[in-house]
Amino acid sequence: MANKVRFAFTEVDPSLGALSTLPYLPLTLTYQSQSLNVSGLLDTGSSVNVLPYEIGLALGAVWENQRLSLPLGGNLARFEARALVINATVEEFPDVDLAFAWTQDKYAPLILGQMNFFLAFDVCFYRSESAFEISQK
Amino acid sequence: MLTTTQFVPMLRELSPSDKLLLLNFLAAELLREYGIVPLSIQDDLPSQGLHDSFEAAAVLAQALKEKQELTHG
Repeated sequence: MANKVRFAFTEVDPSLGALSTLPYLPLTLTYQSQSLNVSGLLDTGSSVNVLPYEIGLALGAVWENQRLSLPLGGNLARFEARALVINATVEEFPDVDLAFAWTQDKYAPLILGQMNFFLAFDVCFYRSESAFEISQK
Repeated sequence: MLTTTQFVPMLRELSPSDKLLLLNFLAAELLREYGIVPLSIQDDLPSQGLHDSFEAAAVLAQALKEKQELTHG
């Protein structure tokens, strides 16, 4: 099992180069028997993980079956969100359960936030090197 | 239950202010039904962003706990 894995920041806008790099983490989400490879934005400033509506649907989740509704702030406050627990695998680390605020906003980014991504993984950012390292708790 | 053809003539008899109040009532009903926060009060919400969505984080913690109880009994 890997102790620590290093990733490069992702360049979002080629015209802006290094100015537009963000820490996106590739991971595999599995819900029931459906799996999906995605990239999540590591956001230490977000108190929750956020799952865009379409990704939840692609994983086979049924909105009406999720009974825990939760209030989000900011731009996502206009949309209803419900709790959805999804199994996630990062690289060679053992899989973990991540609880997401599954928002009805189709254009929301996939965010990995304090509850509970940063409780499951330790992350060290090396912004000057456009890289970050991740290890499992 | 009244049909549309029955209540539209009744609506036409309402005063302008009652029509506005009815519109407001219907909009509020729809917002509540779909869990949408009205734009007019969004600025007043104590939560300013995802950085302090602590109530949401507590709900996620509860969802995780329930999942773990289901898995491990």
